[in-house]
Amino acid sequence: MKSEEKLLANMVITKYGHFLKDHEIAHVKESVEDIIKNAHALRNVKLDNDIEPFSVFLPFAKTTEYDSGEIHNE
Amino acid sequence: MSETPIFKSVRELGLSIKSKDISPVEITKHFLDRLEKYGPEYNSVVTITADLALKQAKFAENEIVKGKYKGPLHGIPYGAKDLLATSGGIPTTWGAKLFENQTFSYDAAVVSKLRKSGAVLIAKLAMVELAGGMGYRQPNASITGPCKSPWDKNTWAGGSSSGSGSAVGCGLVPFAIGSETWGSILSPANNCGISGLRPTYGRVSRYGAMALSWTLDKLGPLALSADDCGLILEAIAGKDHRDPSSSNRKYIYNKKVCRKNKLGIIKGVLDSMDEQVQSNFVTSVKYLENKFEITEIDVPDLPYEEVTRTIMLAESSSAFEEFTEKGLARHLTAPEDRYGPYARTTVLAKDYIKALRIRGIMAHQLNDIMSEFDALIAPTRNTPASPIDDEFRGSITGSSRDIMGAAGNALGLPSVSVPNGFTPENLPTGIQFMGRAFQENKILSIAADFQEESDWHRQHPAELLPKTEP
Repeated sequence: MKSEEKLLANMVITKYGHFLKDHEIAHVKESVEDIIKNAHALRNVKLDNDIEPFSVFLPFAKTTEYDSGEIHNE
Repeated sequence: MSETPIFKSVRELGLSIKSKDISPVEITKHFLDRLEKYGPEYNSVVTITADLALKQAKFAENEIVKGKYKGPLHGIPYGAKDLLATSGGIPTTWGAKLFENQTFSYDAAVVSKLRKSGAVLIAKLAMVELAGGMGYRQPNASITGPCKSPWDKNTWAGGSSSGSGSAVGCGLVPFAIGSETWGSILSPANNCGISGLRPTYGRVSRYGAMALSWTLDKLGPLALSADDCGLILEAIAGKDHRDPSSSNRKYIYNKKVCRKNKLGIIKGVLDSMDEQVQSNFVTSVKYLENKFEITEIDVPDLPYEEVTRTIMLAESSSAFEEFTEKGLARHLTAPEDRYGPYARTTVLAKDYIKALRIRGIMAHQLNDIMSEFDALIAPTRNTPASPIDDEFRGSITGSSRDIMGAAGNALGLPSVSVPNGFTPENLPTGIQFMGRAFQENKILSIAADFQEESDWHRQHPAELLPKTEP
């Protein structure tokens, strides 16, 4: 295993190893390797600074009676 | 109706109900009998909601008698994938033993909408545990056991909307609702020889559906024809303030749409496909060439599968955080599901965000390419139904290529699958038509035309055909 894979696999084992059997830990290590392989494919795509995530954050404000103008300050 | 309602389309049943040839109660009783008889045999049902169904059917019947006919789904029974919340003490198991007693005090939006259309909830249908999100590799990953294809009980119905596919293909319900994060509607449609529609992301409210991946999950119909899928989509589509991703765009099913009569096939999409799947697809293409100009196209070299996989892993890790932290995965059925949730906790925030950034590039570039065509076509799956005991490598955790599935789901594009032939072993294969966002009518019109001139969707397993009266 390379260092990033090893580091992350160790993190999983430290956090969740008590839930896992030995053969399951071996599978978890393989899965971490797959995840890093995925990540490398993403990291190899060069994007300009202004390319934003394709999801829109919308500020939220629940409409109140003040917004509707029904209540006025004296 | 002098004939049996079994294996009649929703449209046909609706007309029979409207003309009072058959009553909703009669139809419901027919399908309840089928569910009792075949449901356990095919592992396709979790809960039969007989009392509720008969109550809803009687209510529908009274409305129709009083002249309050609501439309083509009025009085038609249906089944819901068991990840859709249902009130009234009906369990919603998410396909997992751990949740076998889980109940909700409210109905999922799609269940409420179908009730308003007069449809009758007759069963909660089997599914892969937690919608397959933990990385299962075998059909036996379900509280109800491996769900079987109507065409061969030794083969798998597909997943994760397994029961939705199997129940429609077995003639246990006229239609069903499934969900798709990556392949979960189209796969059972393929394996069970029926039609399935993955709508545009946001077309159907996800309120009350188990969340696996908030920006990938979609709900859609499985039925005997593409035409039926359109009728059902009209009933379940629409804005819902409880699902912020639901779209304001109104959907009215209409097959008469303007078409360019051009279809695209992504180069290399047939690579590593089963030989018979390829052969049936080539035959379908030859037929479609009578009406469409069909072009092989290149798509930009982008990590489609990796983007979709990263989004799914990161979002599901958050959606099931408490489940993961408590080690509850050990209670799941499939061995690989018991360790599946842990590795994904290592997906870095920057990689998830990168996937979301590439998603935007993919959306714009594919939209430009697809705007030249009515739809992209491909085999629905690269194999017919696999043997019920076989392990497979899933898209979610594996490294297999599936550009149509990965791009289609990451970008929330609609796709409809319809049967396009059989293998020598008499297992169905499917063809999918994938359109641009919110162009369900276009792909449904093409699929419906395809079905008007083919009879694959009218073929049903001999052992499941209703016995004719002597």
